[in-house]
Amino acid sequence: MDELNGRHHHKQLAIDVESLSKIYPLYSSPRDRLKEALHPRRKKYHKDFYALKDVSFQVQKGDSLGIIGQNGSGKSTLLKILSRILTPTSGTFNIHGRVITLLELGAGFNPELTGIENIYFYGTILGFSKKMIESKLDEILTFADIGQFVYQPLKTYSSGMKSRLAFSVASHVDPDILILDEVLAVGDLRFKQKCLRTMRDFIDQSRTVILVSHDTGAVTNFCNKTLWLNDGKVQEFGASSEIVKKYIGFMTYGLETQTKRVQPNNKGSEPISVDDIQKQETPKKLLVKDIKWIDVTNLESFGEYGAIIEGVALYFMNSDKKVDTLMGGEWLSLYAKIKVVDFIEHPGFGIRLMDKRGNGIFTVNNYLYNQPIPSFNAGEFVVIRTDFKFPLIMVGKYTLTIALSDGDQENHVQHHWIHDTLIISVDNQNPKFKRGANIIVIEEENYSVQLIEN
Amino acid sequence: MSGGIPFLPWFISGMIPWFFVKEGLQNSSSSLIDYAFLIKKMYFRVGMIPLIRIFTALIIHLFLILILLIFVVAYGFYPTIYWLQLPYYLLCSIFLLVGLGWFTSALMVFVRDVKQTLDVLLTLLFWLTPILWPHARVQGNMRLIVDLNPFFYLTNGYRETLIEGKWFYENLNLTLYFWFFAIFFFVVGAIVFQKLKPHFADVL
Repeated sequence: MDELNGRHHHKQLAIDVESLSKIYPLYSSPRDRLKEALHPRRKKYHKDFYALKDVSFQVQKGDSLGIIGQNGSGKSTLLKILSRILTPTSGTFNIHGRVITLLELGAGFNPELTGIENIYFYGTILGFSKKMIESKLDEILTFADIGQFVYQPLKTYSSGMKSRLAFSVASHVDPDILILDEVLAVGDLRFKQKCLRTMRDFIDQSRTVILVSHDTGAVTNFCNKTLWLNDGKVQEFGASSEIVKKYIGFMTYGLETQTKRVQPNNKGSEPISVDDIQKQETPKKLLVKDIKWIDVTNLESFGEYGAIIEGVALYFMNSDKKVDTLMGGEWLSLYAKIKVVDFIEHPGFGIRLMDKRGNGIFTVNNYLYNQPIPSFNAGEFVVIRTDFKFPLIMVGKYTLTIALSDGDQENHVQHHWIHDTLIISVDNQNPKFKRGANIIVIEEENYSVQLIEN
Repeated sequence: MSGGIPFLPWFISGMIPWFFVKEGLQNSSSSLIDYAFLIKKMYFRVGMIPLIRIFTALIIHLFLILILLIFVVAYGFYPTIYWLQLPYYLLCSIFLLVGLGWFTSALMVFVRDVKQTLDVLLTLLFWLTPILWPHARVQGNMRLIVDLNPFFYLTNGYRETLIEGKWFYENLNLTLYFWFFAIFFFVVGAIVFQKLKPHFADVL
């Protein structure tokens, strides 16, 4: 009857989630679980872990919702609740229409059965008659396009084939709401495009698609709304382009933003060009006490730890604007706060920029450029500033690795090397920054073309 | 053996229903764990899973019944009107198994040791049930214990149907007791299963 009322009031509502929470009890040992079960006064032996906390949102028919968030933020738990596999601890949700979920690769398939048998198996579990599946079989097989493998057991399939088959079945059984959890990640480009076309058709027929993805580009392009989950809570919900931008900023500043989320409209989230900074008539001097340090003590690192980098901060040079997205070509200042444990005679400070595949773009340090830093004394705190001009490189995500050492270029002791300390997004609308397979973008003045003979 | 009946047909007619009960109970009780890959990833009627296992056991059982009938006839027990109540006892077994299957399978998701306990209990029950030995051997309190065992109703029923030639309503008390027990476990099994179902995907 709730459903009837719901339909009456908001005809277009597809999903209505109201303060959904999911708690997992965490026991420190299996013995505690038993003790709690048998305790006469029901003493609690567990800690509550909130996989989801008070999540509310609404999705209209014809919407495509993207769900983003870090690993462990509750995305999959939410999807499992929406597909009624898990039951929420508290809260309610209403779904108008039939939901088909593709949770992960080959979920719901039986590895021993052949492709065709699995189509029947899967269809039957979803509640379809044999006849209905038979009538769709040709369409499903054509869409999946995996050739003679349909007669082979599923265990012989590649991951791409599994996802082809799964998506093909799910999209041909007429769902009102299609939920996809990173399913497209393994398909090749052509199949991915085919899936996206199918999903667009779905939305045009005023059905609903929910897409969980770490590919923020796909979310911005495909989804009109985005739900950003962080630690089981809704961090932001709204128009995709806006949320994704904030999310990228958040990922860049990781822990820091998380603890100091007082002002939600982050000034630094807009890309700033060199011109913008130069336009500021009086460049603001950034005082050391005003630097907003990013805590890096929990990141993966190695070294002798004779001196420890405790915090870093990346600003546009001569400004108090933090960097999370940049266009390339800007001068940047990297600050590092260092706790000195032992005497460091010849400190060396280096940075290396790498692309998302781990290829180095450039490495600079004060040894190579002959800029010695005075010795550090044990027990003191020092702050180092490195200025560098960010190269013109392809649009994408890059990481900055930072290292501190003692010695010279040929012979030095590594004290603290922090992997992927910072994440930097390069975003530039200029098509030069999006073309080709190369990293480096040639500056205008370094390139020319002319007709020399006619 | 009892009343000049040859041992082999007498024994097998009690043994085959026991096989069914044992197979059905063992398979259905572990079914949710075996199908964890589905329960954790798909939404469907989980209550069907123990039933599927019981029906798999039923197919084997039907085949064994066929062999049993050939065997019994070969020993000179020709079909009688009593044979018509074979489907009745089959129904009794399935009904009892469904309740027990729901109950034990739901429990086993939380306490894996139910499997070992069940195996021990089934071995114990095999010897407590008059399958290898005649019911008439026990008297007094021991007899009461044997009669309270619902599986005895099934193994005895097959024997009476195929060999001894007795209607099920001739043992009215046993029949009433069996149905009380079976319905009780059916209801308890269904309630327990429904209550625990929301937690399956969390615990599995």
